[in-house]
Amino acid sequence: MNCPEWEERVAGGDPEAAEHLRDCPSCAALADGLARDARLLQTLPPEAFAVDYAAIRAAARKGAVQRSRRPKVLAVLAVAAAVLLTVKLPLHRQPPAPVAKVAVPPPAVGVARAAPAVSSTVPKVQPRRGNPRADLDRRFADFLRTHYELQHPAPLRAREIATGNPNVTILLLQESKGDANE
Amino acid sequence: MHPHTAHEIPEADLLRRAQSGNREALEQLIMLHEHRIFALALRMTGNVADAQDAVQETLIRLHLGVRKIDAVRGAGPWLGAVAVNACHDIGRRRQRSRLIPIPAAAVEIPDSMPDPERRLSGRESEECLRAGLATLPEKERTALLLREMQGLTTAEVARALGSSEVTVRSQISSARLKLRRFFHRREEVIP
Ligand SMILES: [Zn+2]
Repeated sequence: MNCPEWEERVAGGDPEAAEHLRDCPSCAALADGLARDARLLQTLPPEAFAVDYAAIRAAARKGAVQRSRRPKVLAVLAVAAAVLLTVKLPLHRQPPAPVAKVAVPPPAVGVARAAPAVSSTVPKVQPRRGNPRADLDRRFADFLRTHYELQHPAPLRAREIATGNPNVTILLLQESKGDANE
Repeated sequence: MHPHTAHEIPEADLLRRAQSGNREALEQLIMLHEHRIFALALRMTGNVADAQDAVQETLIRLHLGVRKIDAVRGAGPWLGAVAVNACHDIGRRRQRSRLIPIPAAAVEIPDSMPDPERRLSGRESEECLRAGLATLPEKERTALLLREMQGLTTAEVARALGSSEVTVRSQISSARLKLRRFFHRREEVIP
């Protein structure tokens, strides 16, 4: 290996190098060595025959089913949340209490981690206490969360947000940042 | 262990049937490629556990994306590109990019060669090869393996690595030369 000006071209498979190979023993030896290396790269290592491929195939089938199901479950949860809101609103249109406008902060990953920043002009959003309906809502949120987590490793956060209207509760469903591929 | 039934059906047919939703054909297609995907992943990551994880991830992506494969080129190049991406993801996750030699005792070598296409490298030459690959920069190693093991064209390697064809061409010839020099030095030490 002592023909620097041609070695790169021989290694790159430059057709012009073919003629040079006839006159240069060093590059001819290099070309032989490169061909041997290419053959070695094309052969399979012994480890390739000591693998339980059936187990890997089965795990991959399962993984593919789980990943393809993920968007569907999210859609079902979104629909469930929407249905919950629309069903609850008409049921409680009794004497209309003065309605305060509530700013729901834009969804962000990890909503449950920290209280959202709310402007001082907006009533503070607080969990409700001692209200049987709130308990029911919480149980529904727990049910959704449990049902989802059974099928998915990525946790789903359901957060109940009270509004100015004591009969209206917002359920915020939030998926933690996932690892969707492709 | 070796999918003789799969060998009887041309790969193009298997791919076409797998793309139209035939699960049996997809399984047979996988059996045609799994050894080579594993070998590629093993030479990328340097250890059996990571290589197995990479194979599994590649197969999941195959299940979900078999329709994306160019039927003219066949599944090999697509699988190769997906497998190296899976290896990179695993490497990033485990923050481990250097190759680790496999202890020889952990490997069982079958008595007979399965078929001429699937020749086995000798243990010594395989270890030497992996040691040589470990000395290459990651991008050069990836480009070389995709070209030599999976038969990707320069353009396909460039696409897989998000690089230009000129860069890939240079990476491959540089990797070949470095690997050859590595072997050459070994041959001088151990005649
Ligand atoms: Zn020369």
